[in-house]
Amino acid sequence: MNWTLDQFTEAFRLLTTMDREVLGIAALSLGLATASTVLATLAGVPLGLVIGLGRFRGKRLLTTVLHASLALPTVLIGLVLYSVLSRRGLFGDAQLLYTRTAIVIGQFILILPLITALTQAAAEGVDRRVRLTAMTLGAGRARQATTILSEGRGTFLAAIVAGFGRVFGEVGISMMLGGNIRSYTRTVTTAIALQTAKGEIALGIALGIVLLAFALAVNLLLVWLRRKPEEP
Amino acid sequence: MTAPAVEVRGLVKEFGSRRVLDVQHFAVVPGSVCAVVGPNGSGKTTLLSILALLEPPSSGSVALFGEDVSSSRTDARRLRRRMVMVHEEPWMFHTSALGNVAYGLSARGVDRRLSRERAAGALETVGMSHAAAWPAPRLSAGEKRRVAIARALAIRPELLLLDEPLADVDAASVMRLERIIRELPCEGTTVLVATHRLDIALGLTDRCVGLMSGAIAEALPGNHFVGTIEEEDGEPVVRLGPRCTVRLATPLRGPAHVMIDPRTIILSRSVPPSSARNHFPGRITALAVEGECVRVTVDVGVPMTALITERSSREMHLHLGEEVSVLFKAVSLAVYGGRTE
Repeated sequence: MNWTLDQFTEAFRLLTTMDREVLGIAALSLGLATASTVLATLAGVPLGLVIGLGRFRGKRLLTTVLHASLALPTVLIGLVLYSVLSRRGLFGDAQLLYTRTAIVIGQFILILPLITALTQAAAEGVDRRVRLTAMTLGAGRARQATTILSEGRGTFLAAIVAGFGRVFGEVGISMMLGGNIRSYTRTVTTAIALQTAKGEIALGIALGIVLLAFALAVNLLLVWLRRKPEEP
Repeated sequence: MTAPAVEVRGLVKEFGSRRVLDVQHFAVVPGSVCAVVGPNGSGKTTLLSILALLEPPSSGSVALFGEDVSSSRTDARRLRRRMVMVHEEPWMFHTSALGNVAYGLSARGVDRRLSRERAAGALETVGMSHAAAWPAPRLSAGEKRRVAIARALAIRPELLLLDEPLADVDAASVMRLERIIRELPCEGTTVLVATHRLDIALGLTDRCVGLMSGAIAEALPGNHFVGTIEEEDGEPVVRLGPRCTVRLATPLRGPAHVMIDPRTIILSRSVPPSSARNHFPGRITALAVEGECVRVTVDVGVPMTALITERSSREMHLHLGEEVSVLFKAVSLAVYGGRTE
């Protein structure tokens, strides 16, 4: 009992004194998650729009595959990418294993289906008059797409935020492809896993609090972004 | 001769196995206002959507400004930019009313300052200047419709497709919008209006076609006249011609549209004593067989058509140029427009 209390006290000390290691790890996690979310947004949102708004053969099959890939476990992505990126692997020469780049690649693959699927659902949920009105008013495809994004901005942002939340909290990819190298690829989640294994859970608790604080901040941001548009 | 602004042939639209549109032929003369009148579910919106190139037809040909739309050489987007459709329940983008009206212009690459200027002008036209800065999605249904019409006018389209343009609009604005729509051909815009209300259609144009269960009925019921309802010996009458003053049963007075269903008109060799308040002698100018019926046109000072069975036409030995009397009841006249006094 005393031990638990001591660990929590230590965790709060680490947070309140702005411990450099805690801050460094949190900043790295934030950076990696932002990078992979930005990349997955750039690819996933247009893809989701095309699938959601387009009429083409195999749309239903593609949607099914997309939804199935939402269930991809992070360790499986880690495993497959490991086999590709390791020295003997297909892209071994690039020497990407145990780098930040490898983590970003893995996280990108993890949330691309998520952002795509949620964007598709969001695009299908936007009132069809939005597109018809844009079309009849002479908008080209690009303008139609930006209009649809703008009219349904809340749900589209929710898709991106969901992606961010997923990568920020994932551990499998960071561990297998990043290697948990101190002050290089040690993220909030891998640090928690390691410290717990070592029995030193104070740092883990501190990082856990950081993780939850981030989750709360992101969701507050989402609520703010999804508020009903006021005076333009 | 200039090509029709709109011309469709053998146009069919099916949703699944349900055929919602089956139009043999329909054309709109450029520089005119044409109204398609039909009940809800008759296919008006579908027809307009196909003409606006927002919906592909199942089969048949559509030509806009003389260009075949289905031709692979036709650039649909370029054609779409020459016209605009205003939906029955227009969508307002989440921005100001002014921003909404400027949308079509900015989509055409018109610079921001000029498009805002023209948008403000269009809002002024529909009497919505005061709401320029208001968030458009919060406007009332009637205000949204007026902003949507301004949004369409700002583009200065060659063809304007209006779906129920005057629904939910208050009486003062109806008159303003009617005037705007009627004057559009002078500015080079051909207008096609879809409405379920004949009085609205007749307030906008004389060119009305009916749409029933997806098929165009080129002629409206017929016997459509425009005149002024006056009082004569305490009875409302409308003078249609020098020899033809029709008695009606209506509280309305003033300029109005008057229609007499050809099926309610009785043709007679003599004028029998009857309850019919209207009877005019005339001469048969046309006889046309329509299925089991014969459409007889009688000149009573104005041409009036009666629909009678083929059998009664035969038994009466009706021939062209013959004298015959036209009888109908005052209550069988439908009056649109006018005002109560």
